[in-house]
Amino acid sequence: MTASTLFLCLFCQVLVVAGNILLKHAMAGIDGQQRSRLQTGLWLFAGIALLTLWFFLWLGLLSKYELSQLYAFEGLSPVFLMASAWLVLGEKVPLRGWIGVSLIGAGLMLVAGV
Amino acid sequence: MLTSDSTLPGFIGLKLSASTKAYLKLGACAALAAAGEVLLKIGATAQPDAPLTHWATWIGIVFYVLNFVAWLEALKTIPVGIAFAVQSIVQLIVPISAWLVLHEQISSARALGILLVFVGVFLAAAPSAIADERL
Repeated sequence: MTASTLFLCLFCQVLVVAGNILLKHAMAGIDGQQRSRLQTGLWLFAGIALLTLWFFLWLGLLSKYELSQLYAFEGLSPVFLMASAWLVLGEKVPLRGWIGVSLIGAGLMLVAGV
Repeated sequence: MLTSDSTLPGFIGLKLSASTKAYLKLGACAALAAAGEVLLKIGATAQPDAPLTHWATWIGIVFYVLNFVAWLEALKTIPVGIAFAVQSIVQLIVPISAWLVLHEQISSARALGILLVFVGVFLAAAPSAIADERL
């Protein structure tokens, strides 16, 4: 795996994490009426745009590289997402949540055959 | 959605808390993603050159759209970090179905990985669900 592939795999992670953070931000305020429909729509659109970009980048990577190599990175995304949601959105996660997501990350890597 | 706020409790005759309903939506989300993946695989296997001409591909696409709607519904209340962690279960359908349906040998490392993901999902999701019930 070359440095550019590694970069693309990590960029995929950034897209998934940022896209879902944007979706959560859009949906969390939807019933509170703290912002207009237009603003909610724009946050949703931004999230969908990032996830669409992720989808095509991921398809491109899948067509070029071994599935098991790529799936190793899938184990990282739940951990990155929980940490980002804590940092960016201020989501409170109990200790059991952190232990749980670490086990999920390790488990997904074992399933991928790392 | 199937788990719409107004219909489900009356239909089953149970009063479900908001948190339980949110986790039902999250479960529907995982089931739709898993079923969608299997349907796309069926379509692509039956018509390798033109999967879009096969019915299974189209039902798979509909399932993926419904999956996205259920995901947005779940995100209204569930923290995204926990919701995403729970969705990791979807990635186990390929190894588990290869073992159950195709009777493929499963390595002990992979079996341990599957077990770790299940324990991790339980740890990540259970405490917040229980804490919400008590409020």
